[in-house]
Amino acid sequence: MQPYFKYFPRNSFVHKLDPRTKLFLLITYIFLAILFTDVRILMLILISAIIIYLAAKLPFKENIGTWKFLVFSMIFLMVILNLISPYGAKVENPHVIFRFLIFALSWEGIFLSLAAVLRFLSGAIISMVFIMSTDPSLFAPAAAGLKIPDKGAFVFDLALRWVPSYVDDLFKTINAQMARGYKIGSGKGIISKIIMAVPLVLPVTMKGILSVHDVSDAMELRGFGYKKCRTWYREVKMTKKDYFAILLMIITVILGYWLKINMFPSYWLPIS
Amino acid sequence: MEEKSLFSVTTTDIAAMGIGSALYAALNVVFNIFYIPLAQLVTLRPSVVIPMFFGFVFGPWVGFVTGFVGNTISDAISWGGFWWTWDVGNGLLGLVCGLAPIFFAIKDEELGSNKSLVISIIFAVLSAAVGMGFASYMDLALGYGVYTFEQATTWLFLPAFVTDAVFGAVLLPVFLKAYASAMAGRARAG
Repeated sequence: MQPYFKYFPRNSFVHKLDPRTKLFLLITYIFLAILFTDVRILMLILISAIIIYLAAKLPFKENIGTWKFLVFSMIFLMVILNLISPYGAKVENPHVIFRFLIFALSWEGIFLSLAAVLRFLSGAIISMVFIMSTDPSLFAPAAAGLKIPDKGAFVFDLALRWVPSYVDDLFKTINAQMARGYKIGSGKGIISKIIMAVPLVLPVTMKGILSVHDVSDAMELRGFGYKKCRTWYREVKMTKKDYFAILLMIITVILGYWLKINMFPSYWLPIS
Repeated sequence: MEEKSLFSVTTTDIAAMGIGSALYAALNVVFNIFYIPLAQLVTLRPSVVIPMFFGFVFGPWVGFVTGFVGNTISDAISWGGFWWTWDVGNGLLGLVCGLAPIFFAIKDEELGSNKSLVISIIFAVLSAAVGMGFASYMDLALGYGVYTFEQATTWLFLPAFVTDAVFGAVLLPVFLKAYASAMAGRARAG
């Protein structure tokens, strides 16, 4: 149904979890990653995220593009952060390793940027697990299961179904315009380059926006919004595993908060 | 025809939200992932006009949902994850643009008028500032990748704001004008 979606069907523990549980997992990870600045704890969080990724039997090879993008952007980010504003969060008396003109490399800068990178990576990996291990047709029922109003869940379902057809439309438009002599990449200067996007984007957008009224008429004729509740073809159900996983996550969050307050309040340096 | 009010969600709005999100996601996917070499600009995003346009025509909530859901879906397709600060930031593009017709009392028939076109340019820039500002400085507040105000401004806010503002300001009036003339030929008003 959604040929463009990255979904890897596998028979794993993570796949069998309810989508809502996985969303909760993502929130837990984002919260824990924001909580800590200590590189040692963030490293643990990242390793556990990778373990979940492996437990979901998600592939590295078929997904190599995403990993390359993540790793390269992280390395780039770290280098930039250290070069431009070397003292991280404006630390007093940083341990400078060397100084060159306006650039300076300090231990604080290295470890603070490392913390930022680890925080970003762990969140990115868990959101990858969430998306890639969940059947796209379950997102809308899961949203309805979260007590999000049916109309909201329906919007998501509607949007997911239409994406491939608009991608096709756009390619069709590009080919049609090229047959009429449109040259991709032509135009001098920024404004004319932007204007050159109009022949591609405008027809598809107009087709979409003019069909809004037809679609809403069709929906109303079928009685959309007449009854408060609606049913879904696929249903989501919480099992004992889900409740156990959520309990585990709540305990982890409380433990993490306790650790943050009592043991790892600030960033960590290997030197004193 | 239903009134444009702040808090009602009609069936038309639902359809507009679905179609807008799908369009935004599809354009993002095609322009970013399949990578059409339209120009040498890396961050070429003609698609930012979609949430602004849907917001302007159908109201702030449609604009917000278009940007938010569209960006969530395109992120999920392109790299299989999502980053909520930028999703909300993209939603704000549509929300802010959707406020313009309410504040300036632009009726549906007047969407193509000169007044509405000028206002649309101003609001495109304003919404880019609000939306991308929210995303950049929220990243800063949460410590995602950046730690200082200068870093957030130079590495996140300025590139995102400038591209979105320029694309929005140039494309939004063009789209509004085209929509107004297309609707004029139809029997019903939006």
